[in-house]
Amino acid sequence: MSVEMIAFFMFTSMLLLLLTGREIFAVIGGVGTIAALFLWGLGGEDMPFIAGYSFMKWSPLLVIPLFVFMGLTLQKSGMADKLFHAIYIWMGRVKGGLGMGTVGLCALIATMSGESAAGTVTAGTIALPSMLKRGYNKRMVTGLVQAGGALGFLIPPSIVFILYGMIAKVSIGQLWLAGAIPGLILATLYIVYIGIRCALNPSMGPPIPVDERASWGEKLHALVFGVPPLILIFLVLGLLFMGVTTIIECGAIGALGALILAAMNRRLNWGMMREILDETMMISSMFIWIFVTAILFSAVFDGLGAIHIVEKFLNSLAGGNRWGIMIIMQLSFFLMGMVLDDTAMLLIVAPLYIPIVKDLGFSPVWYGVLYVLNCQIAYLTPPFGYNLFIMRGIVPKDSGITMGIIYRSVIPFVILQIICLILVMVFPQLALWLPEVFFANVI
Amino acid sequence: MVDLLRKICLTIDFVSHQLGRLTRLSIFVLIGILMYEVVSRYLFNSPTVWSTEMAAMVFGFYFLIGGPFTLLHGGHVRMDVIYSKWSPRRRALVDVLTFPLMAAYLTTFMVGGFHIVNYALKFKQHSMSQWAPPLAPIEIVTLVGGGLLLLQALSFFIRDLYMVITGRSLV
Repeated sequence: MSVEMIAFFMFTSMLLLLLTGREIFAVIGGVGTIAALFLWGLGGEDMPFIAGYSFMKWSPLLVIPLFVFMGLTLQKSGMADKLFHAIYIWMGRVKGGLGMGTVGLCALIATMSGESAAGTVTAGTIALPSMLKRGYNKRMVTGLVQAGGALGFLIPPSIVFILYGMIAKVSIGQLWLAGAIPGLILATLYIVYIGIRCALNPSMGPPIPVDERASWGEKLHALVFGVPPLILIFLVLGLLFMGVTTIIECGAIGALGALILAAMNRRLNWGMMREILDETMMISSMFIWIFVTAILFSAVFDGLGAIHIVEKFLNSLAGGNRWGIMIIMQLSFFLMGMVLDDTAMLLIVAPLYIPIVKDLGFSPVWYGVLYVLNCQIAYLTPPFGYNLFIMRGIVPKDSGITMGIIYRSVIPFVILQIICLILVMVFPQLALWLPEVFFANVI
Repeated sequence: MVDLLRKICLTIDFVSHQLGRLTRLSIFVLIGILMYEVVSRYLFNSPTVWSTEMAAMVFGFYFLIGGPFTLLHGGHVRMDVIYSKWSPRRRALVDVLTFPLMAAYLTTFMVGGFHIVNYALKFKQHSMSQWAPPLAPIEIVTLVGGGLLLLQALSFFIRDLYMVITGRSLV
């Protein structure tokens, strides 16, 4: 069997076996191990353990539990409810205001959580029922909750960027800054879209009746609750970008700060703490086991010389045109993202693509932003978009939101994401300008 | 025989669960170590040599010993688009058929782990950092983590096999 055939066979058998519903880490680890033993016999038998033990080498990994802990604590301690309440009071009178405010809420939650699901869950459990009750259009609110949640990929602190930074060997701080402006552009596009739809057709997002509107006293009171989260965001991200803390330490500050905020909110009890601790450990363990098995898989791929195979293949497809190769890479991410878990996809495919990207003279930081934008689109699109399964779990049973509505609701938002992707491709400065302000050596 | 199998499964589940309940607390240790480093560096101007490596070890313990708990409570994600539509018996059958993937990975993981732990003990290997802690302890934790995960997977395998044969659930 030729090397090309082995690589192809490994990859496709992994994709097919994933469909059997076996735990993702077991499929990737199993296929990787069997391939290693088949290729190198007993010489390959140490590879799974060495990959497993590599967590000692990738120290930025350890911020994952810290950011997950921070997000869950803020979510479960009622911080998000309070923020939504403020939005409700301030924006309720505007046509579509709750929808626009929910996008803002998602962007804010994204700055306090590393995980993309956190935004979807919070907006889906708090904002969605409230908007439905106000007579907002079902399809629009279902779509905006999902798209808003996906902002967590781009807006710092983002775990996807941490993984990408480790693989591409570029600064995670630079990547986080690079994602910020595209993230804000997307949030703005969503808000403008909702605003226009609701202005043209007010029945899609009716304003709150006059007698239910809040007084100025209530408005100011609601605003006070927004201050502590803003301080926390500054301590986590501000200190990092000012060069005071390392990326690992800013995770610890975030986790501790979230705990203090929850205590100040008087919502901290042992039952809630147990839930947070269990979920944090389970999410982290799931993540890291996928990480170490994908490292194993990628090591076997590397041993096969898959980089050269992929490079040859891309060159023959695109006829050596660098933008052609770039666009094929984007499409392949989009297609694979439909089937493959985004952590696994990143760890298996990025080591193959990043050397090619550097060879072609593109910036790996800019490419990271494009990659994450693709992840976002894959996250939303059927048939295997992750958030579709989250949504299935959280939409209220009596709301009449069917799987069909969930599927179709994302269409306008995916179009907006593609517009943003094209903007960043055509104007790389949208991603690179902010990191260049803070760092001297952006590559 | 069936009673014995049931007992084995429940014992494994109990161990995984209790270890997880203990391990989930180590995130506070992780936060503590990192905060200690920040405070001692800025307030007392004396950065530590051990904090990052120590934190990585605690983190390793956290996700490795928490692994079986995660498997037990369904935290290791599956691509369940098709899987979720099947009957319990069919799911059990497919899980029995794909069990060799899990077993091959974790068994090889342990074989390799024995070699590497052995080597570290024999030559008293230390980390190549300024702090230079011995490597064997954290390697043993990694090995044990893999072993416990394999045990938990085995507990599910026994249940799946029983389901396939009898159509009833074991526990």
